[in-house]
Amino acid sequence: MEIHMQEAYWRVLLESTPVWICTIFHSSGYDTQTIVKNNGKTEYGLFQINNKMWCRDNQILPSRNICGISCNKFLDDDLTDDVMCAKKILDSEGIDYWLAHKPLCSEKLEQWLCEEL
Amino acid sequence: MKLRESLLGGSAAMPGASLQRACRLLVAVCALHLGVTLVYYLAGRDLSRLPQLVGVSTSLQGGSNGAAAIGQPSRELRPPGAPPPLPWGASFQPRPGRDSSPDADSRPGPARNLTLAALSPGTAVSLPACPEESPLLVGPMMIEFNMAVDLNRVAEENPEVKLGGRYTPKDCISPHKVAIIIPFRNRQEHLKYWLYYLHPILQRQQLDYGIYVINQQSQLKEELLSVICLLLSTYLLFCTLHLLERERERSADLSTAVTAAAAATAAATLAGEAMFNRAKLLNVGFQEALKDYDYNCFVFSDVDLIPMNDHNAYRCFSQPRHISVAMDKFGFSLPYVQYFGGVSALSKEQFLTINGFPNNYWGWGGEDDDIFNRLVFKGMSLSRPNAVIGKCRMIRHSRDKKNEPNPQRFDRIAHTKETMFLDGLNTLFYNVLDVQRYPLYTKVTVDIGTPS
Repeated sequence: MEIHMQEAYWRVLLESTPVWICTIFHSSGYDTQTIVKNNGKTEYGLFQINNKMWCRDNQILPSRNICGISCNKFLDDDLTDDVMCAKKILDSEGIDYWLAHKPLCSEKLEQWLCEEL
Repeated sequence: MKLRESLLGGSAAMPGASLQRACRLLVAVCALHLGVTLVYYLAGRDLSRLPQLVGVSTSLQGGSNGAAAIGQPSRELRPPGAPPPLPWGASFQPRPGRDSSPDADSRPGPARNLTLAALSPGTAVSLPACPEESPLLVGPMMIEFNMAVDLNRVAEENPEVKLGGRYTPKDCISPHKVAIIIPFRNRQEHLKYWLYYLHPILQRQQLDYGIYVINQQSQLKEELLSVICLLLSTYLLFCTLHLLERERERSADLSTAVTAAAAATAAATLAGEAMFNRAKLLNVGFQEALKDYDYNCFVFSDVDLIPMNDHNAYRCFSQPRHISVAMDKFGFSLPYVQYFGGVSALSKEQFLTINGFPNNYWGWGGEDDDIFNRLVFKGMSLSRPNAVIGKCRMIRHSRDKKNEPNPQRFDRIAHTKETMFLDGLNTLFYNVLDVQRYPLYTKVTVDIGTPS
């Protein structure tokens, strides 16, 4: 899977990479095309960003759409927009917006370190 | 009145020939369906799907464990009919009213226990214990899913496997009495591959094993399917009358009403199906298997996972065993160290210590993490084979309906510690709808209810 992204945005987000790799894995399994419906919301893409607050789709009208973007943009392999919106979510909700974080990504983080090349 | 007129008018104006043809075709199809249904019903079969093989609804015969019993002086003889003792005061699932399948006398109750009562006195041969590692293992194997599997042939190719999927080594006594529990719904094609590959492997590993497929089915669905059958039969009747040119007026009205009723019933049936609940099915498998035999080890395997190396032992160890450690789906490595999904093995003691598995995980995900948490809280750790021996193939498939990711899973696994003794073997309730003994496996169809 080839992922195109702008390095600057990625660096901004990555205070601690392992936490994010872990959280992303448990949220979407690294699949950029993940769509999951639950509790009346739909979550899109690698970061599982939902249509109630953060992006707009044709299911929830009107959406708060804080990230000002169509949710479908989170389903492609260009992660720039995903990462930008994730940063906004992180700033306003904290990392526990991602429910996987507390039970699965609070410890044993060494396993998520990228190997030295 | 208006409806009747328009219908009458309709049938008079319609080309009579095509209506006649449609009716004739329906009569033929319904007659065939009813005929087949009747045959299977009389043979005591499950109406909701045509089984792959001829199944027999009887209890297992006691012959297969004869040799095994002699060499183990510590095994107590249980009188037939007595259920195996369960600590914990665990509820042996109260059976409110209906505990046997709609097919009459499919399973005499007490005789399900395999005992030595059937053993003839002349077979007192003492066998050696099986070696620590089987000499029959071959190592890495080619695993493919591009050929058709015929279970009749698989049964022929594995003649030592007894009815219900039971096998006991003939030349030695195995300490591993393993019940392999497979949670199941609508995956017959996968099950065929599983049986094809695993029976030879399990025999080479010299295990004393039985295969249990636990099939999730709602009781309501079972009953609604019967209702649909009845309605279609009624429709058939009116179609026949129509063809015979009797009761033409009435039959048009009534057949419309019956069709509508059948359609509504079908919709209700599909709507009534609950989310898949893997862990609860595994709990059921644990309890149901113990009614057959004194298993001391339980392997829990998804139906679509096949090991690639027969050195990967499908039996229990001193710590809970994770078997599917290197799945092709995860690049032949562990997706995360706490991962306990796919295929695992717990001894009876390990299972009871954690109060079994949670019953409240409906939909995909989380239940394996909950089980991992339970083990950790009880001071246990995972035992694993290395990543070479632990390689597994998963049969690729599209996402199942009614098994979407469970949105509650993360919240639930954050609270395992508080809930593990409030949710598990001690709160397990279910209805067995049917038990079928096929040559290669035992299929337990069970209603496990819906999310509360």
